[in-house]
Amino acid sequence: MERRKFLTTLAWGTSALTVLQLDRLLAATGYHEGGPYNGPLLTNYVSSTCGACPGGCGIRVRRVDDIPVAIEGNPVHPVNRGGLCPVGVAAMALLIHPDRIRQPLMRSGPRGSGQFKPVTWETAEQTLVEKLAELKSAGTPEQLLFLNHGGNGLGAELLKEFMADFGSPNLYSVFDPSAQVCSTVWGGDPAGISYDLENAHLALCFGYPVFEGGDNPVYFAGLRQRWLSVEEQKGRLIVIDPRLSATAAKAERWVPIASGTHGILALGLAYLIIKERLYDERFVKESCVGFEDETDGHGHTTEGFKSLVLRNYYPAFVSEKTGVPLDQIISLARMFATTSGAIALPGAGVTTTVDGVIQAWAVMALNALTGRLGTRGGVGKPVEYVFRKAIHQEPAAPPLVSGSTQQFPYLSGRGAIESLPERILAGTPYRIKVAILNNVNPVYDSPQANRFRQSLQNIPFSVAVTCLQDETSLLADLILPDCTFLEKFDLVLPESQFAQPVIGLTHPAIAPLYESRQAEDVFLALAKRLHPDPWQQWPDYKSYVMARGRELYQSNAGALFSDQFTVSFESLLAERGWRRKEYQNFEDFWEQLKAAGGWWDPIRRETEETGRVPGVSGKFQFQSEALSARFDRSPERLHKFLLSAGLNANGSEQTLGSARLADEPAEPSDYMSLHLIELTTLRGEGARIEKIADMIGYYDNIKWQCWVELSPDTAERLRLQPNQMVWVESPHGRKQLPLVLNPGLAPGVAAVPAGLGRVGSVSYGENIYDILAPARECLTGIPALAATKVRVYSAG
Amino acid sequence: MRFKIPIALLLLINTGWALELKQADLPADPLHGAALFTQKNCDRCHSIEGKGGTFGPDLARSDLDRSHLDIFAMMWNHSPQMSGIMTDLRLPRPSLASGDLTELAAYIYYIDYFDKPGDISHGMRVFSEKGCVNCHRVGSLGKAIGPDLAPIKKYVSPIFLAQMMWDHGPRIKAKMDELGIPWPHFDGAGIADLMAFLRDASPVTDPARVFMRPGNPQIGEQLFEDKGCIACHRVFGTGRAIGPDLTKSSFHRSATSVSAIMWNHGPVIWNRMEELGIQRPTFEDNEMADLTAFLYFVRFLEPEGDPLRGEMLFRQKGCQKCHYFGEKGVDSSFSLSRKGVDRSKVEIAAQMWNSGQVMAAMMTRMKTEWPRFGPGEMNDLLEYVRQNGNR
Repeated sequence: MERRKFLTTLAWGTSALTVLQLDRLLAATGYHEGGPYNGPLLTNYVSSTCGACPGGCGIRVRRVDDIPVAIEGNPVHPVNRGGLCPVGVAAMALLIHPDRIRQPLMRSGPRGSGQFKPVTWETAEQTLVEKLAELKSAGTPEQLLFLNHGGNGLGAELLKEFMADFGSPNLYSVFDPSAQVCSTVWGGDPAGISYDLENAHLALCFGYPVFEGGDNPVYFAGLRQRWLSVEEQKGRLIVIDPRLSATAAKAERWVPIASGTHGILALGLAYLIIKERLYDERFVKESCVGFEDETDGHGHTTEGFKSLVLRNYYPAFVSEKTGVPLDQIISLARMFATTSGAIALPGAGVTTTVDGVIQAWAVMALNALTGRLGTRGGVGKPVEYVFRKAIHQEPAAPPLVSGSTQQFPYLSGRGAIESLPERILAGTPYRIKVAILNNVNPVYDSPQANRFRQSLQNIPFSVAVTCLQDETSLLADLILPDCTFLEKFDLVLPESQFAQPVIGLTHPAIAPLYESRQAEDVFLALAKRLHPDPWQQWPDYKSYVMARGRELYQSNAGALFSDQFTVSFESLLAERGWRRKEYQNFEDFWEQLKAAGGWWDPIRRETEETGRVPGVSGKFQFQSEALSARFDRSPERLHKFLLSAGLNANGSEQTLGSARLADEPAEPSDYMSLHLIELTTLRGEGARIEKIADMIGYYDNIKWQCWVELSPDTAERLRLQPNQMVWVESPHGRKQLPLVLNPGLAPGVAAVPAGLGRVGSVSYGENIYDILAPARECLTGIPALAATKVRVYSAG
Repeated sequence: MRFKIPIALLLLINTGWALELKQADLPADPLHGAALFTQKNCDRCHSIEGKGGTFGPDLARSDLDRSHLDIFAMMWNHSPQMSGIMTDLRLPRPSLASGDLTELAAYIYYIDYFDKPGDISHGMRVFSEKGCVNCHRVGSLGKAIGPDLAPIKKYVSPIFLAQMMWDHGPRIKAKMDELGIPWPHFDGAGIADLMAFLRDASPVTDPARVFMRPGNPQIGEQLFEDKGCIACHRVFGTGRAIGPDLTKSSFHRSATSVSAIMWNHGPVIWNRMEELGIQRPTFEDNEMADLTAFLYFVRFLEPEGDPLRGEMLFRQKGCQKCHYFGEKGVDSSFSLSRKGVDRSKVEIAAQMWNSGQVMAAMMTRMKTEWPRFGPGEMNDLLEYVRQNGNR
């Protein structure tokens, strides 16, 4: 086809698709009822926050006659600075998605049959209120279970207050607690870790494909651009991952590594940094604990980090275990230690292993050795804006799940949710009678999906609050239609490990379509009907949000989003104690906030604390005080725990460098590590947008299906041909997939994209979670997604 | 027996010394030009403390102790280079209204007003060496004779400290005399460093912060009268000459530096005021910042231009090769006369700037050197053009 003809066809096709989509949207909004739409076509914009993932990018929704027609990036939002990922651009499709739940639905057939009948909101709310009132009057409010999504809106605060007021301790949110637990273990701030990437000069990403699978790909892509645009190419990126991901392809260097061995490599780098005396001796002496051997009053010597590393992690051993060539290990260690502003970042590829937190601790040790904690361009603690709580109340009953020294001592977030099926099915310590599942889908994305399915069937009454019908809501007794983020009102704290607090405003670009209602409004209404007193002050969720907005205004801190130069100048003033008076009153502040799309504090609140290790003790612990205390300072108990978790322990486990990271359990030789290709575009609702589905597999020329990747060497060894159908089999199931040869894959690894194979009208590919091992990280209890071993063989 | 002038009488006298400056000559919000700085793409080439473009000089490190029209002269002098770079960057050459010119110049001029962040370790030395430690406690340091300084944590600007010190100055002086401690002299950085140390050492954990609003020179001018400064100091020929004429001194220095000068002369000033029976002024809210901003902007204002020197410059710089007054020329656009229109010097400057690109092209064709202006020259030239053009 000629170029001109191709482009013409493309233009017409795009226009037709847009018109068709707009046509559906117009029909949904009711503008189409009286014949062809003939409005004045006035364009305006609404600043808001994207809710397609927890990244929290700022968006500007272009509207024609108040009907949203396109989503663009907000150029003054500090997270994405005008950039937007494909899901954000395509998210308009969610408004009129064919799987969208349009009115409350009550189950009319057997559970899981998918038979529902429409009911009114009044009936739905009344049913739910009655169920909850029963628990309350029986004095067993703890029998309410609430699973919440991992979003960072104020809704999470509202739910905490709602559950506290109701008296149930069983509120669990889908968040990854690894950073918090890792920070706790090394003596840092329990709130987690932040990276001052804007001022860093080298990012060593361990298992962290930041451009496509990180917390906020758009932020990282923008950061990368900024790094490249400044003089002397200030920032460099090195990716250590089994697969040549899009991030690795764009990085200065990709270091292929055997799956699950990032911690070993980190300790190997530490070996060289110590051996060549490249570490910051002053920092280590003054701000670290457990580096040198220590002898107590009884003559008992505890081996320090230095001795353990020098004894166990010599480069030849590390190279053998990780598959990283010796010369690369040496050059990485030297580059990391001698580049000022270099930081090491552990990602999900590290933390989703059985000893993920300990491996992440090993990576953080590199930052400690080189004195990059609490410095400009280094590692700090997250600086989040904390809103005041309106309701303080501690539920009387213990939560259904909590950490113990027998299993998962730091159980929380996603880890705690993974422990729920066992407790629900056993009915201990009490039965769950009502479950509310707010935009969560464990029946799809948990390696123990079957257990979740069984446990939901075991709960007498379950409610799913969701926008699109999914695997979990099919099992519910009542489905409540939630709004898309384009119809919501909220304040959002983006998840991007920012060194400053950032709060984005989610503002509706259109009134809720169909009979959907914002979930937070529903919960607020529910709370008022159950216990009116504390909740009457907020007529609706918007007023709840605005009350928090007033707090921001009164804090007299930070500034509204604005262009980069203004931000820099305002920061310069604030750093020196000056601030321009920008708002006449709260109303003025709010109007400006709406226009800008959010608020942030570009001056780190902890400016005065720069130069100090974040955390209570102010020291990095190579010997974990927290871990030791968790096991009553008994090395034997800790030793026993680590052994029970399948780790190789040798007696001084609270010291990093000894607790594991050695031998893998022996596997049959034809088994290999399963590496999940986790793309942000395939998280949650994004995977269900047609345009996104079209993009998946683009480079491999595989459309609308799943696939498995092997390195050419591995395929040759297994005598497999490209594009042939193969079985990918784990001890827990198998999937038939086409084979793609990927030279950018470490040998002995099979890579499969995660996030496909969902129910609904945009259904394609296979759900790889079905065959994952139910292994979990030993401290947090989150699924150890990188722990599954598979074998790949011909399906023909 | 000491003779004291009643305050009411003093106020009457003060009205006689009221400043004759027009308030409109002073910017009310010098930072208003910050928006223009980005709108006109100045930030694409110039930076402030390293933030911004790198083609042009960093304005926080440039000598900007110049009057309004001298800052314009600086802009004018680099106009051809600027146009070249902006063409390369595909940016339009900015056109400026007269108000824009004033706002932009005020903004650029104002940059040095803000102290650099204090140095904590130096502040600790200041706390000890200046004798503060003998009376004040902060955290575990110092003695509890004077007030505990821990609550100072929430005040971010060192001007708060300067204001507190000034207000309690006589009591501090009395106590220091009693303890035999010499009166401490500060420079601006010393106060900023001391403040940084006090905030760092304070055990207060409340994250609340209070900022100072950038000084408003117009309010500062009013304060200069109201607080009785004018009773001793002259500005632009108004006020009594008991103290130094402030027009002759440069206060183009940070707010804390100006307040440090006041502090250093504090005992002398207070004694003199007492002798004259004038009530010692104290400051509240944003007053210290406003007063120092007024003093800072004194040199920003233009003195009267010299039209004779202006006429000489008109010829020297080659303006007469193209421009004329009246209606004798072939192309009326080259005439500088605007009959019956009373244009200000700034308005003429803005017109000059906006025609700069055309002028540069013509001068290149004529192989004439771009006219550059030294200190005061632009003021004189524009005064000449104003007087002749309005006839």
